[in-house]
Amino acid sequence: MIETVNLSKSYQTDEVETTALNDVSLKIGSGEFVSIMGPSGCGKSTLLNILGLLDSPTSGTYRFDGTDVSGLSERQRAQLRKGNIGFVFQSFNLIDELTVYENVELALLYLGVAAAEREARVGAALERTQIMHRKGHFPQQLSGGQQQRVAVARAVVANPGLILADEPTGNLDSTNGEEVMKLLTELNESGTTIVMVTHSPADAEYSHRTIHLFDGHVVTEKFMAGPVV
Amino acid sequence: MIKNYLKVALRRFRRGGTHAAVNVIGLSLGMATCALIFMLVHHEWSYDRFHENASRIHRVYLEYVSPEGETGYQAMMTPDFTPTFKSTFPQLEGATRLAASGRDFKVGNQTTRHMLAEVDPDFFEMFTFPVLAGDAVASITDPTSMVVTTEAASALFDVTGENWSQAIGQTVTILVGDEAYDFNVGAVLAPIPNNSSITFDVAISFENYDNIRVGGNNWGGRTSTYALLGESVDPEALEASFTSFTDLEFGTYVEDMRNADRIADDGDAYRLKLQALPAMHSDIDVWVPYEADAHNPRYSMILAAIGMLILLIACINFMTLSVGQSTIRAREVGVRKVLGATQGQVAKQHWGESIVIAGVSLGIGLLLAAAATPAFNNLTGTELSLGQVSPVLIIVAVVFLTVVVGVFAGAYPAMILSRFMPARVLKGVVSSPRLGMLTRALIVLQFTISIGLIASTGIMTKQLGFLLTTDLGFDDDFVLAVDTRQVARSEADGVIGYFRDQLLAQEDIKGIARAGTAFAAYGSDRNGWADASGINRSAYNFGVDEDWADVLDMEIVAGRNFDKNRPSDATNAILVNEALVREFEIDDPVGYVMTNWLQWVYEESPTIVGVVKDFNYRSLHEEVAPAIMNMHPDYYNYFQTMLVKLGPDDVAGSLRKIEQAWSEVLPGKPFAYVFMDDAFAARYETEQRWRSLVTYSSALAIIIACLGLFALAILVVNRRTKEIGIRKVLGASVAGVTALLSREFAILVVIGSVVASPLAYLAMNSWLSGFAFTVSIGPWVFVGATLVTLAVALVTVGVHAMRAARANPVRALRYE
Repeated sequence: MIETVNLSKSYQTDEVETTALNDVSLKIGSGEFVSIMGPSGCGKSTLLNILGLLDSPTSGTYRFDGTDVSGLSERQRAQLRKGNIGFVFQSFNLIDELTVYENVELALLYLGVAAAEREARVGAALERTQIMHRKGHFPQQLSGGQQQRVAVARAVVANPGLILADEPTGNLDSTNGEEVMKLLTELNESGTTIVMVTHSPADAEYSHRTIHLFDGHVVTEKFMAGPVV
Repeated sequence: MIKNYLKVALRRFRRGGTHAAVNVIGLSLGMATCALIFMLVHHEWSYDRFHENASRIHRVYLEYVSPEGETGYQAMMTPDFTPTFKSTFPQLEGATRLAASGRDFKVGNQTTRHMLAEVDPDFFEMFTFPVLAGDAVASITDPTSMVVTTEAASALFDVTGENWSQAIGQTVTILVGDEAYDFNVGAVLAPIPNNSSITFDVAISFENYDNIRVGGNNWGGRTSTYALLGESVDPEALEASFTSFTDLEFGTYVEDMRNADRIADDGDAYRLKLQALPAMHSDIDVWVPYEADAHNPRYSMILAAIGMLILLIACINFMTLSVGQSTIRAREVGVRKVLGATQGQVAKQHWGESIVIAGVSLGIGLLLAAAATPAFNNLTGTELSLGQVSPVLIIVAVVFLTVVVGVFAGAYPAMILSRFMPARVLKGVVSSPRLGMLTRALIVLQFTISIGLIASTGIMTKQLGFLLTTDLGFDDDFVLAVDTRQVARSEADGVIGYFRDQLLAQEDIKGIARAGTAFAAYGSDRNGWADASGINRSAYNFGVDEDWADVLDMEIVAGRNFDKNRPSDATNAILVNEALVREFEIDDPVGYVMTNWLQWVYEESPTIVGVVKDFNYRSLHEEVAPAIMNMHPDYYNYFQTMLVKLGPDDVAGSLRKIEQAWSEVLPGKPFAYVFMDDAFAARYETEQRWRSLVTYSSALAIIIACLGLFALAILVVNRRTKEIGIRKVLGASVAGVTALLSREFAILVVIGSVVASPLAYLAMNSWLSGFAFTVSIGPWVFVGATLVTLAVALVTVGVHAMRAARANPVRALRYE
């Protein structure tokens, strides 16, 4: 599903060039659950953003589902992104002015899904993440764990093949964190590929494989038990 | 999707509180200002366009070049010009003369004064003045018939509304001195629109011109001419064919003017020109005394610019607040982009939002404008309403304003926010707690405008104060000028004698004088005289009597005043002012014999018996011009006004006594008067209006700018909460923290003042150049304007800063 070859990313700020990623080559197969770990500033999030087509690499190749996407324009990336990739963030990133239902629905609006179908699919996603009972509430009225469940619902509502999670439990206490991890595991079991950035070794336990990054390099890859490609 | 955008916008708006309110209030005020100014500018533009033939009707005037190369204009022709003109050029479908002035109309025992116009039969066929009853064209063909407007009809006959036809056939007497002429009403016209240059209450046939002379008697019988061109006639081509006709018609006139050194000695120095009706109102050079005052279109433009500036300040609020809130909005943008929104979609969403806010503000603004219309009319001396503007134009203007303001105000969020990289904003990239360069620049612009307007207000106020309090060279306090234009010439001496007998014995009546003018009221008159080297120069004429100089406390600097014991003073003595002695280069004025250029009232050339110290009888826009005071009984402005000097203690009681005497000697005639100082103040009405307009504009500007500042201060203070907490933990005082937060804004105000001051200086210098006597523009007005603005801005920001500074630092630090 994902294949990168010598992926590099550097930022130019105030005459100082910072290299965030340096020659990262990796392969992630369809249906895998992969964790990316490493200390702060090692390039985890940068890698995740590039994989999620939110950012483009400075050099190297990135093939998404067999297509080379490293040279695509912002517009083309947006086009490819929608419907194919779902995101879950550490800080939830729900829109405060929209209700739970509307936040989840937004993903389908950009896909141009018809109203009746939207209702069915949003309902299904909310059921799946067990947050249906709060569908009329605004994000501020929910606990962190509940907000993250809404964010997961939003990520899956369009049935993407890939979900990218950036420290999904970082802002949650352990009980809520565990719930979210179970949710992600269920999604993976039903066939969705998941790539997750995390600081927590406990969370990484849920995945099949952990990639360690340090200073923009892949240092080790560790395989867990579970279905292998 | 639009529903989703709307939902977000509305909910944000509801929760947005201060920012939303500031945006809408600011934009509404700006829009209301623009709507009012638009109304005024539209009114100015709409002058004379309501005539169906407006583009084909032309005013005819002579343009000439003086020997000094200056262009002069003469629209007042001798009465025989128009018929010849019409018969010479078959391209003309019609032509009419027009002359008008106030006359007394008598019905039964009641006399009222109305504007009387004398016109040719083509007049009502050319112009569009709707007829409510009778037949206007037929009436003007009949020399004994008259056309009245509804206003005159209700004043003369007490008819109203549905029964205008009852006025038809009624008899009205026009009083001209000792003569009386009867007319029958033949038609009633709808009120003359307030955007008509041609105004009158009553119109009669021009055939009455020899008996009832209107248009003033000061220029020896002149009228203006209007011609209706045929459908396909090109005015420029027609003008080109005037040459030989002009030579023939104006040969003598031009010869006279050349002898008087008024027209250059060049074959091309004069030509007959046509001016389309809609162009008249904005042409301040071609002057017809009885047409509505032309207005310099520059004023409309300045007003429109002020309106735009105020709207700009409101738009800047919108922009700076968007910038300030961009961190909050950034997340939404990020989420939308992650979910597949393109940059274009995000931009469209934000532009859509700002256009909707602009539209809502415009709606509120229009309501505000409607509510403020009476006050605005009062301020500008107009009677306008939005109803006078065509609905199509309003819709076009509304759509235009909404879109322009929406696109402009929403430019920042639409263009900058939409470009945000979702990867970064969603990671919660912390924005700088300081104001960005763009925001600073925009705030400086707001304060440049505010300070510029405040400084201009200050200078205008100073100049007006100077105009109104400056020593005019005579004392016009408590001098009542009674309108005596309706007193027949033969009764004049008897009437004034009666007042003297009745009133001078009274303690509170200090003096009575007969006069041809009260300077600022009741007429003025100019005439040509030879100077010391025999060159023709003009001087103002004032009809006076022996008491005039005393009543007005004029100073005689050489020679003597008129003397009651010397009857010959009336026919061969004159007083002159210092300006005349100076400009006519007369070395020894007392005893000097003045030669009148054209045949005037004097059979023998009069002798100067005294010189009056210069006094400002016109407005302080102009230097004092040469003036001649005469007592000649044949002078046509012999008795236009009676000046009565009152004691200061019981003005109302004195007025009652004068009115009592009036009703005894002139029963049935209306008693009208002005106080001379009021009449003088009225000369500066335009200036006072401008001062008010600019005052209100600057108040609005600073209010809107500070509203924005207020909202922005909340954002800045909130963003610096942590910094404030740390500083307080480290020992900063409340005052220290307040000063720290306010300083940033204070610097911007000062920069604004530095930019505004030279601009306001230039603008005001140009305004002041319209006056002969001016105050100087000192640096203090700019310092003052800056301090006022600074004070308002600091209070606005300081309130928040203080609150933030007082807060418990522990809470502030836990906040992050």
